[in-house]
Amino acid sequence: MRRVLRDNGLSLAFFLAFAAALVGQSLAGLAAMNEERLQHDQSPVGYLDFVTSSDFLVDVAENWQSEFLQFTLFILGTVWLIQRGSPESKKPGNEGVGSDKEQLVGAHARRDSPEWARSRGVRLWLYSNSLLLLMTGIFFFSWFAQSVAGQVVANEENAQHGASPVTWVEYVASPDFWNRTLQNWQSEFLAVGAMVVFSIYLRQRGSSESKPVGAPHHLSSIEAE
Amino acid sequence: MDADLRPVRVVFWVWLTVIAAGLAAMILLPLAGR
Repeated sequence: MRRVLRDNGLSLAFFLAFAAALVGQSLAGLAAMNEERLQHDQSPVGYLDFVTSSDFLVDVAENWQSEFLQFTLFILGTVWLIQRGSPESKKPGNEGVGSDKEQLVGAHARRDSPEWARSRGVRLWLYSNSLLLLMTGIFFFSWFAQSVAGQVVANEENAQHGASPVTWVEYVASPDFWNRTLQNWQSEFLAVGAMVVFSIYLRQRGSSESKPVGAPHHLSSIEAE
Repeated sequence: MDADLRPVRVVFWVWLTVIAAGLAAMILLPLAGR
């Protein structure tokens, strides 16, 4: 059991942190909503009603989509783009998807390579891009979730103010949808860029996200190893 | 080797399932007018 916990500490710790933050968000969100409802002489809503409401879900979805977009673009960008000196980057000259030999696929697969790495054609292509495909899929689904939940919230507000409801197409072209979307994107892009750049010159001893403390600034992490 | 990877596989599928369930809820509940 201790071995299982140690082997999976990173994913378990982040899962617990995710769950705790989501519960915290739901409690704070419920309190905020009920405060506002009291100010408008409306009765408070219960916890279960709130966590299944579009008001809560749109806030969750807009953050999910931006996080998964961040990793989607980071995975894609690091195939073709380089940052000299960054441990997040391959070394200059290694741009691109690499040879079959480097990637251990097809005839170059090892005995313990994943089964699909030894295959050819569509199966090999799918497996070769599986991480990017999954992250892209989660991004688009959560962005779509943001749009449908956001539409419900916008129409609730429209109804309260006597305005006519908007269609889904009208909502995804609305300032509210893009305000929610872009406020999350800007922070993700800033943080990723900052991580790439700061890690050229700065270190965290012991972190796999950092070069070794004594590694020269001009080397990527793979070169420094 | 394989015994060490069994819990890792569980972790992988738990993450994927939670995310899929979250996405389904975030899409279906608003579509149901919640």
